[in-house]
Amino acid sequence: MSNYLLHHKEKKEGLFTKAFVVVLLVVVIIVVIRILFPNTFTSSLQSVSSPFWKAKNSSVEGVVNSSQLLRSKRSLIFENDNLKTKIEETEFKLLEFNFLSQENDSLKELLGRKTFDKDDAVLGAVLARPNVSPYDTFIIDIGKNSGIQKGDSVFVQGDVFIGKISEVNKNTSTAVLFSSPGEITQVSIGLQNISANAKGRGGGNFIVELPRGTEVEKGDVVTMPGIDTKLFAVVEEIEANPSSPFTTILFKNPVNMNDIKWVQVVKTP
Amino acid sequence: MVLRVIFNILMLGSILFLSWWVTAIVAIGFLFKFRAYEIILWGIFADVLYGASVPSFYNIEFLFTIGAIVFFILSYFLKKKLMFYDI
Repeated sequence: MSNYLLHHKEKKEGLFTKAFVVVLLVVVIIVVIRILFPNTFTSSLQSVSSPFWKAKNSSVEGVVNSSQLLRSKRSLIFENDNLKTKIEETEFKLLEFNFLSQENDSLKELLGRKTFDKDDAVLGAVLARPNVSPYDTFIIDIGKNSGIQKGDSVFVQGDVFIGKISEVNKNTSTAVLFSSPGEITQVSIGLQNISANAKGRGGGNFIVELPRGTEVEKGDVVTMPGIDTKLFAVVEEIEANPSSPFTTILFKNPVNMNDIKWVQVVKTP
Repeated sequence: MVLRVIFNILMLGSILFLSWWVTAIVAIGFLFKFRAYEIILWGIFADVLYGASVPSFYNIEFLFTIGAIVFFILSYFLKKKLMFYDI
């Protein structure tokens, strides 16, 4: 009897060791293939996962929309009135913005500087958001079939530049955000266009250190340098330690990365 | 056996739909209950699906895989030390 238990345990141990060795072999083979031929298997895996992501996104939207039915009439009326007021204020500001934007484009054309054409943008639905993986990447449902290439720029809401396409498959693409941990991006801060290197911290957050006394305020707009001013982030917090010669500036994308449903991919000329 | 299958389904679901730290918690739970070498396969699955070079980690795009192997090895040796597990 006791021999049987010992024999059974040894047999189990043997099976486990074999299974573990097989698993390690499979992992090593896949890693080597990925190093030698990047993007291998990604296309097929993302194509297989795509219907599940789409189903999850539409069911979450359905649940969120249904939950609105439980809100009281009074709170809905109150929110409706507030939103109407905000819309009226925003429409007025938008008129002014459109005028200035057109004037800006005309001046650039006059000076012979070509700006990138947002009409060339391809709209893509977000399948998987950055919070799902620690890599701070989006997976979107457009790929080679829509003319997307590695290095194309990714925008949200038309104006906010959030990242670049790092991997392109047949029907899907992976976009790496500028806020990916450790990613360094050159930016200009505020109206004085203070040049700095922003370091990504994940989830649309950035950190930069500037010499103490630099004139930066909360709410200052951060842009990417270049003839096409692209909105990048907004200054959220300034940490000044009296004993340090540097001021730490924290800023983040003006849109919540976890709420993004659509992105625009602009082809690199 | 059924519980093992359930854990594997939870791993797949958390990789596809939930945050990476939820996947880590499910993986730890899986390791507590079983000698779950499958988490290494799930690690490589997640890396192939989402992987991108991360500057913070020396541009390595196998974070899930490396994490899974480390967790597995740690759990293997930890369980050997604990009387609770008959290894």
